[in-house]
Amino acid sequence: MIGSRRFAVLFTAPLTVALLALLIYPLVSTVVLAFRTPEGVVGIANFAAVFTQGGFGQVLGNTVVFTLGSTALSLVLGFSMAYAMDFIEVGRRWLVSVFMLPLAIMPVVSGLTFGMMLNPALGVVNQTLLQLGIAGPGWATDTTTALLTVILIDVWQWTPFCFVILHAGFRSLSSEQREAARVDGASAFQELFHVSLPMLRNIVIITTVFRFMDAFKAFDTIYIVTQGGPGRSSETLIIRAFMEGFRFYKPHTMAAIGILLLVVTMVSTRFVGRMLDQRSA
Amino acid sequence: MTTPIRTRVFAYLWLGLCVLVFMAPIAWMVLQSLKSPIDAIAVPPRFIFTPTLDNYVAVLTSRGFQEAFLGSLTVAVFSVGIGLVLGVPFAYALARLPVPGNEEISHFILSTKMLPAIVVIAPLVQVYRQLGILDTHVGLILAHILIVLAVIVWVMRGFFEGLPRALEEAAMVDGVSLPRTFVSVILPVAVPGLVTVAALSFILSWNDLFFALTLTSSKVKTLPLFMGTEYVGFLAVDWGKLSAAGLLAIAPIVVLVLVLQRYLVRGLAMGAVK
Repeated sequence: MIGSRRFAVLFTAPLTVALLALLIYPLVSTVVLAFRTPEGVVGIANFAAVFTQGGFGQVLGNTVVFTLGSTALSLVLGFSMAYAMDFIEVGRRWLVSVFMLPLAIMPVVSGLTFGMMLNPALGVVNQTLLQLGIAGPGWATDTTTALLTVILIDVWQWTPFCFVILHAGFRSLSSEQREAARVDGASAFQELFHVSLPMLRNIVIITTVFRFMDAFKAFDTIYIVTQGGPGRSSETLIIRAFMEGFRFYKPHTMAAIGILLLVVTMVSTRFVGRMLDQRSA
Repeated sequence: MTTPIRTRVFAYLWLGLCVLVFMAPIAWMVLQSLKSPIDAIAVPPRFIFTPTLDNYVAVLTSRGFQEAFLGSLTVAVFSVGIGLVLGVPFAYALARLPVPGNEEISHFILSTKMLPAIVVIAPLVQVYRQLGILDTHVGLILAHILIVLAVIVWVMRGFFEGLPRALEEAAMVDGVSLPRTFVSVILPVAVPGLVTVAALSFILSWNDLFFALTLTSSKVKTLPLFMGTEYVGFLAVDWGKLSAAGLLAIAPIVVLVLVLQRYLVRGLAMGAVK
């Protein structure tokens, strides 16, 4: 196309400028910040300080447990729902609407609602358990259950995301191949593992990586429900970084944690980017 | 596919259980929002009570809620609008025009969706302070543009790639310039894609807590921040008002999701599902 190079510049320049100002410049500054303190360049001292900080091991562990736990649970749950939808006809559209609802709910609001329901003394969950003669746990207020509580809330919020994509995936499968397998006498499970799953492979992987990244950077739910507490029992890297920067006013420490997060992000993105490109190729 | 009755019953039971789990918090919010303050914290919790709309009236007439609602609306509309103006031509260029480093740029844009905002927030606060746009609508809108760009560019790129090239070629033969072709030929057929990304971007902006928390303090109010502070105290939590405000805050998005259900799937998967 004649002159299209000129238009390529015209079409891409505005966003490029916006990204340079809003993203590239701050990113570079963060890298610089991470290797400095107000007194000057300190090399990796900020990183060393982060790693040797008391409780950092716990924060790292929480991040791993939260990210993997939330990803795995919401995937398995979302997949089971999408698969079950395959066997029904009546009410399917209604069910999709219902299952999509949590996606519409502001994480702040669902966090507050769960906080209300899981209030150890007055909440509806423990009160109902009490009626059944069971003493409910302390949920978000107990160091042993706080992390699990925020994981479950996150799973409630984001399982619909997995469900919606996987459901669309199941709908896009050719029914011929699957029926052929059934006619040949394959059990439902054989069909699932040998016919459907291989065809859904890419969609499952993409869903996993997107979910993983969202769980990895989860902030709202934890901030609203526990603020990382009690103690450090539900504190993840993001919450730690936020506290360092905005509670203790240590932007250099926040930047150092930020670099760790950045590395994980870059690795995951290259991976999912290639997968998505394969699909469109 | 013919399904054995037993399997079908099992599927319905499982889905029914899931409906209960996923609807329970919403249903409880609705119940709580209709209760008087005494009913809302009654022990044991009341399922039968005299409903009242007092909470809704109180929330809707409170200055704070009105300001936050308007603030959220302003920020979402402008960030989505500007995001579309910047992102859609960019996506088209990636899909069709000879942009050097096309693939790398696309991957980079995708990575901005996954990048935790905490990574860039410290320098952003510094720059905002120097520019004097901390705690302004302009400042928050700029940050939200960053949130929405990835979904706009990535999904629209996929959408444009799916359009037949004959569309442009016909216009080219007629001697229509590329920008005019883009506006009068391409954009009209891209409406389904535009609806998808506009809706998703709106949700992302509407729900954002992080930037509101870090870039604003008193002058700019948005719903997530208002919800997180207004009805929650260390001593008293007004559960009735909290629930009413929560439902009102999510109402626009619930409507959006229900109406645009079909459009949203593709966008959520960033184009991974057709």
